Amino acid sequence: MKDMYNFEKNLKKKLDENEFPFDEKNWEKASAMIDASRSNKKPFMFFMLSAIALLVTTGAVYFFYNSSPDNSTENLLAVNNSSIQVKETSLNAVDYPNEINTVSKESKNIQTDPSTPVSEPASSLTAHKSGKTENYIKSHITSNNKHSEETANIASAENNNNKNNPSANLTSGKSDFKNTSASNKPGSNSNTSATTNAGNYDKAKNTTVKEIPVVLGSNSGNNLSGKTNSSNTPENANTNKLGNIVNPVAANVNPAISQSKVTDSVPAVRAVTDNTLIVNSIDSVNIIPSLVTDSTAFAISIAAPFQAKKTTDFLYAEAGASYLLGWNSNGIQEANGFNLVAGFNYLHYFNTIISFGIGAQYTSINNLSQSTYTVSRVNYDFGVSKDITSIKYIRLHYVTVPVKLGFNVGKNNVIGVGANISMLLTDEYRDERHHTNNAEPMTDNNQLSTKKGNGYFAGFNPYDIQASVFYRRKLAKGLSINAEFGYGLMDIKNNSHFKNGNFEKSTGGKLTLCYDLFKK
Amino acid sequence: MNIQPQLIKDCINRNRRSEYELYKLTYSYLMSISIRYTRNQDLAKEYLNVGFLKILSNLEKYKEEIPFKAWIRKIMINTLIDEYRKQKKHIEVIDYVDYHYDNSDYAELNSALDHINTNDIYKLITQLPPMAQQVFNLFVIDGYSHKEIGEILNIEEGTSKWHLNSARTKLKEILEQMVTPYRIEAS
Repeated sequence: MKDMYNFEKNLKKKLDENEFPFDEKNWEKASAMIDASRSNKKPFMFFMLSAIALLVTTGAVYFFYNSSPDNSTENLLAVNNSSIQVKETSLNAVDYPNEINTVSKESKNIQTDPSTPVSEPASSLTAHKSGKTENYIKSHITSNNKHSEETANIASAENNNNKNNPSANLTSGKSDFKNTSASNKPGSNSNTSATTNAGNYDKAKNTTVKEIPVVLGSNSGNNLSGKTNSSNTPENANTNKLGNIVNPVAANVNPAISQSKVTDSVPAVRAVTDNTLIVNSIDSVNIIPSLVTDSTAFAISIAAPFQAKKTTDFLYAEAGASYLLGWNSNGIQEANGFNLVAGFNYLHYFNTIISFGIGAQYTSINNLSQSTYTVSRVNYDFGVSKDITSIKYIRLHYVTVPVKLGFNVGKNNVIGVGANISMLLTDEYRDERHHTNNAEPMTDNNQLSTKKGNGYFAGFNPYDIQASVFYRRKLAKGLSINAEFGYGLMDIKNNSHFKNGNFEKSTGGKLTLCYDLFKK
Repeated sequence: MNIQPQLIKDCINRNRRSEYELYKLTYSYLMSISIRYTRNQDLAKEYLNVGFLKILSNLEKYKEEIPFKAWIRKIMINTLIDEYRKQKKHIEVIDYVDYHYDNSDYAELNSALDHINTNDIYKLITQLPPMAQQVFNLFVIDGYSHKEIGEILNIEEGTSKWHLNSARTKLKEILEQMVTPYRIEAS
């Protein structure tokens, strides 16, 4: 045993003392590797910074366009109905917040203006000021019903010359301030109901409604006293089957602008609370009703854009081809060519513009021609012989997880950035074995065996990451085309394994067709 | 090997001339390690470059209180083990051989060792089965314990011992063939 240790001690000593002559050529290879490793970091950083800059810019543009001045009014309207649309032009036409304040503070001498056009289009309602009269049209809620068309109006008026000062009320069977039965009974006097409603509202709110600055259409003092409009009778206003919206000044309603049509089953205005008006079955909300109290300015505004409920989640199949540029290896372009791409993707829209997608795809890298790994075993028998094993790689198979952030541009176009994270599944290679004598080259004559195999991919990076930009365009219902450019961020081949200093990137383009399988 | 602190600082600052100097100064030492763990000289040079790249990229972490030689030795061995792990499956497929443990005495071999040049010793080691080669290098030459070898190569401690014994047996067989001419001369 002692002899063995001495033997090993001597062996170690001899090995440690051995000197290897410096190899200048090997330094050149090392130098190339050093350069490659340092230059690899630059494109990655450049691309990441570019992607971040693009994301920030896009986000800033998106939020800029979504913070229009129309949203400066408080969003007090909670709408949980998908059929609501907003005509922003009418909102723009009414500079209502200032006018509300004016009315609320200076409305003592306001009178209705008989000269106001009766047939003023609903979409261009404006507040009118003429002489002693000011009419402020604040609300116009319209909905359609296939079976019946009943008119409901939300209006209010104030005329300080009239001591009966009618107040517009937004009432509902579900509202916080309950409507009186009288207000809903057919034939009941609209002014009476209006007064009653106003009183109820005051009680419910425990505040005093001093000024209700909303008047529909062309009014006059006579109208307030009960003169009816032929197209909008008190019955129309007060016999609302739902009893949800009661027009306190039904006689004054302008048919051109009071087109709120309430279905039998669903209330047009479902509830009004201190801060919230809940509306159902309304096709268009053109104007904003407003009640002003001592304590708070009760306003109903609409935050644009209201969109109909849209499909937000998609599952789609994707298939097509990718084209890899490949890389230069020993003066030959390797891995250059087309590859199959197929998989599934899940897409989620956060809003109408931004979407996030993730999926699972299969792809491959074909045309490996310069990826041969050779191992030789030297046998010192009678002369020198070599057992040589060559592994010639043919194809790599990957499973890829594409992660995408998309931005809608127009109706049918999406652009975006993303990353394709790939994991090497398996490969295909040819295993060739040779037995050579006295340093003869490998030929068919000394070839012992050749066979195809898969699953051995030593020398290849098990992961690959591509940074990508893409463009997707809708071709038809459920069908779209996706064009993508990916920049490889990782070295596909292990340099030490294949004895080179190259940085093999999976850079290239991809063209695929996408078909929606499921959406909700 | 005499490495000046200034040279290390210059290498940290990516001075190519200094990097060349460091490479030149450490080449022989790193090569003597690399060639023991690999199958041929070309591969040893390739791994040496990989190891040197790691040394350069980690120079900022180097602390002067640690001997530079020991530090680069550790990095080089780790690099070689990493490379071995990557190609472990492949090599095992083509080179696996069974060996029988033989614990006969080494006195004769010890004296014969003086007649063998170092290049032949490297060839001896490269003829060992891959795992036995790694274990022999780590245990006998580089002074790792079986426990440490087990952790490094992800094998059991007992397996490491088995590989060491098989390496010794194989070495003895080869050496006996090599020293036969000297025996004849002596007789």
